[in-house]
Amino acid sequence: MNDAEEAPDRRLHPVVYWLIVLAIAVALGVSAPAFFLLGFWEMAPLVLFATWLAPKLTRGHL
Amino acid sequence: MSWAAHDLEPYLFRAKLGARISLVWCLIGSYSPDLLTKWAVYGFGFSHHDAILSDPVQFHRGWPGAGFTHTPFWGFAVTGVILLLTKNRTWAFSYLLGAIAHVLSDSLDSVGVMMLFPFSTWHMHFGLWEYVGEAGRAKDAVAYYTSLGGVWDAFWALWLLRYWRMFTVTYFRDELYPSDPFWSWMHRFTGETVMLTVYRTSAFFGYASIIGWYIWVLAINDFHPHLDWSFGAPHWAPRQGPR
Repeated sequence: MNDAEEAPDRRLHPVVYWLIVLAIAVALGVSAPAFFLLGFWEMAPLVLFATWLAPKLTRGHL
Repeated sequence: MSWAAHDLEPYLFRAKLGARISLVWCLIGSYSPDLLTKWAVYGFGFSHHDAILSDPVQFHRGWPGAGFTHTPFWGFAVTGVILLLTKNRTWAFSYLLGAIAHVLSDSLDSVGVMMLFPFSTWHMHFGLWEYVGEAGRAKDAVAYYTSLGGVWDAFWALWLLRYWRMFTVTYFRDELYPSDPFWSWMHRFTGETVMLTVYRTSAFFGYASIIGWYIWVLAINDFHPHLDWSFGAPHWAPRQGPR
């Protein structure tokens, strides 16, 4: 058995990953609602970053 | 007025009606009545409200004013223009559905909408919650999320949870992209990451804003931080709309 087979996959489940992203969005919104709870354009940068990062941090994709 | 319901309703329509709905055009329809008016209703500032208009309620929902944007007449008129320019019935129908959903959602507050415009300026209003837009964004958030307005948002959010798989990459690639030429048009200019962002952001914002506003309204804000799910709440706000 080689090392690659023994190494556990530590990447996040995609559902867990997106729940973390949602928690970050909520935390930003609660701390500064005038900047992060207004609408599509305020949320788009975070969703874009999270969508770009998802394949690197998660097992499979959501 | 409604808040996150306008972000979430189009996704439910897509989940229920499938390829008969263009999600993007339905979202445009859902956003369009407030697109050019809401900033003026709220005025400048967040906590400290600086009014722009002397009568924001009349401007937002009335005539004379921009209230025609919250009427079926306006929805059908723009739908006709979309049909004329694009020749795409799915896009036009999707816009219409989004716009009508916005109008019907807004009829639930105390001011309501001019359903029979231009033949009448009568307001259809169910008064489930008080219209408080004239007090600025912060107080409107408190009013909306402590009243049945917040329940209306939560209703759409919980219903949409049943269809969470529609936000997966697989659904986007196998169902959404092939059924709506909007995405192949967009793909000429950008990649899948940006398209997924455009597809998901309104729903993501809907959920984040409902949770965020509820926490802010009930735990951070100190202006009437109490739920009141009685008909026509909140009762601290001055009565707006037809009597």
